[in-house]
Amino acid sequence: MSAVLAIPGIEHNFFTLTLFLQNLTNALANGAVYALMALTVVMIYKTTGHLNFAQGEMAMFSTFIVYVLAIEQGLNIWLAIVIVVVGSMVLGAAIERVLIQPLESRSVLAPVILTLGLFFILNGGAATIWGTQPKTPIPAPFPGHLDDKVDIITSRVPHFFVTYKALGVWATVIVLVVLLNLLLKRTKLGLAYRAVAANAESSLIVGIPVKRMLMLGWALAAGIGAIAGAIIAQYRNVLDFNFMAAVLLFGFAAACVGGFDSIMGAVVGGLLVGVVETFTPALFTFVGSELSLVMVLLVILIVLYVRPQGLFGSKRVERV
Amino acid sequence: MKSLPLVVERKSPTHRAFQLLGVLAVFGFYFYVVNVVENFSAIRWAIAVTLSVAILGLNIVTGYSGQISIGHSAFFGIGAYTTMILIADHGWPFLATLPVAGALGFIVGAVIGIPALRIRGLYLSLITLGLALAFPAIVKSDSFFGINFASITGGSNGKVISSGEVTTTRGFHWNPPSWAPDGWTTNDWVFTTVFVIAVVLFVLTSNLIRSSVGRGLIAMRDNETGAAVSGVYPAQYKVLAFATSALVTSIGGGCFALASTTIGPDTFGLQRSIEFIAGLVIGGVATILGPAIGGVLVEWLPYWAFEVNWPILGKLEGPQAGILYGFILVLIIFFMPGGIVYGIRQIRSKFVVFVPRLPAPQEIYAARPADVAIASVQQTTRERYQ
Repeated sequence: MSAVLAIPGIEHNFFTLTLFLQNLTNALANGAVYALMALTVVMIYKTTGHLNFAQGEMAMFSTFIVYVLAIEQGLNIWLAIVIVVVGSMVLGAAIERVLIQPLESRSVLAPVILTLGLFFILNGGAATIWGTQPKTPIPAPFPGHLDDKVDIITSRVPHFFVTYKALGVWATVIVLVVLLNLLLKRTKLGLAYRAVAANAESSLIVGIPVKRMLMLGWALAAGIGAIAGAIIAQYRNVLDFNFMAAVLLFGFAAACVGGFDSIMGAVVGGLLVGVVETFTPALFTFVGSELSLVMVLLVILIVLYVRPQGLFGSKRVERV
Repeated sequence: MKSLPLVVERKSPTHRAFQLLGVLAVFGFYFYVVNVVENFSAIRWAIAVTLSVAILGLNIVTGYSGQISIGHSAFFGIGAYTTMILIADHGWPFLATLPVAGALGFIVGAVIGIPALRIRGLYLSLITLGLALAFPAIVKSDSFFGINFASITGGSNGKVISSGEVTTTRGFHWNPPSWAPDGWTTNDWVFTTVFVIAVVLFVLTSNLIRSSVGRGLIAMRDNETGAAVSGVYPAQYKVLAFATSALVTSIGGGCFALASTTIGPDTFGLQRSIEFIAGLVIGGVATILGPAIGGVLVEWLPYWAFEVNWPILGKLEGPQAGILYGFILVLIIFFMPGGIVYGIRQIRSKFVVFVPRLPAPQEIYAARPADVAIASVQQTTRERYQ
């Protein structure tokens, strides 16, 4: 071992190879989780231009249903997830149709306030139905025991390994992004969706059912959210009525960094936010680990100062 | 036969009489709380008034400049902690802490507002959501970039007003002064203080909204590009509006510290922010009276709701207050978009209608055809209303 240069405020262990790699995998796995939430944010924002503040709570509610089906009713976990995803998509589209669409002609405040209302109804509803205590056991889409991991470097201490859970999160993100790209780039439905995202008025003129595309955005977001919820619950090892509130903020941050209308941006933004969140407390001794929320807030502020439309986002130009 | 509403010209003696009625109602509320309600409730009413002030601040940014802030709980907290720390640890008199609380709120508001408001869209709501979630964490943190906030703010334990040797009912000197009427308790005096500050802030805000700044804000809210073309600089106006709104809410927070005497980090979380928004929407967005009603409802509604035995739900408790707020928000947005104040206005307009004062027709120009036309339109308008 070489002598380590001691710099005040810097955690020198940070640069130990295996520890660094371990931090990096944690960061990228956390980041993938945020990318999942950012994807839901993007799917709605692209067509409607809204932020859905109830997104996290919708995912939380879906996850509780997965819990009921998989743990209480003993269904296969993936079957339960598929059922819940389909159900969530239908409900997401229904919420858009019944609650959001009538407000489209009103000010931008109305839909925001409506989603805040939904946030409270779902949050309080879950607390009423399932109680305020965390649920156990948590439904596990991926093998989650302590020894369910791939050892990569065992010659040094600490060992460097990747858990199946982390691999599962990455696989989910990749599969979802591929599927979304196929849907949006290779199908007629996707073409219509992208047309509405680009210009709703012109789409209406050429006969695209714009309102249905807005519903599609919500349906996709609710479906992705349901998958994300189940995976995040296992990955973070917590399932209670509040577990998605902070994750949603990280998702928003990821979407903000990547650009609100870019799928690629959501993934890259999510990974970046994960890296910042994990690395700053690990590298700087003067940043407490409970401050990850603050770090993310700073990331959003910096992005808005430097590149307001996000890394991959498109700039909006407006004429009078 | 359907009776027509009474038409009152603004600034006419009759209109002044109606305004006097409003002022009397405010005084009536004040004397009701001080003299009629029991001593313990006076403090809850004082807290309701501080919440009204906070919502008044939120109204400047959400109601008049059309940006949603989900972080006003943090400004409320900044004000409350500033007042609390200055009184408890530095022995400042209460009133002297309010300017400091307001200034701090203003500065934080500007720092947050500048990046979020340069660009259009929902960025402010995004950043302020982060602020609402981060504020309790910062208050509890013991190494925030090397600063030990927990040692200043009391960390998770919160903070209690208590100043050195002084031991009174409120932990420091805020007893009724010698000139106060007999029988005034400390609670009455606290309510009076908070109430007077609130009235001053409501009047100032009302004036601000009627000034050119207020008109600029409203123009920008309704058509930003159009307003910019007409010489309203969106970024400047929006940042200023947001910082001012943070200032007002911070002062509300300072008053809250006085009224509640104990504060903790989780008093100022996301829940509080959404309560503010709910209060504003229920009371009436972009009205001066709306925040006053909203503050009272936010403080008392859960209390009243928990008393009732509901048909299906039974007795409500804890997190279920959230469901109540949620449903009220959704219902208000759909069925009473302007909130209670607009509802009241609708009913009032069946009996009384206030119209702007019409300029007197000017004979000297009557020779010109256009003026003749204008005069005749004015005449018709008058007749229609009378």
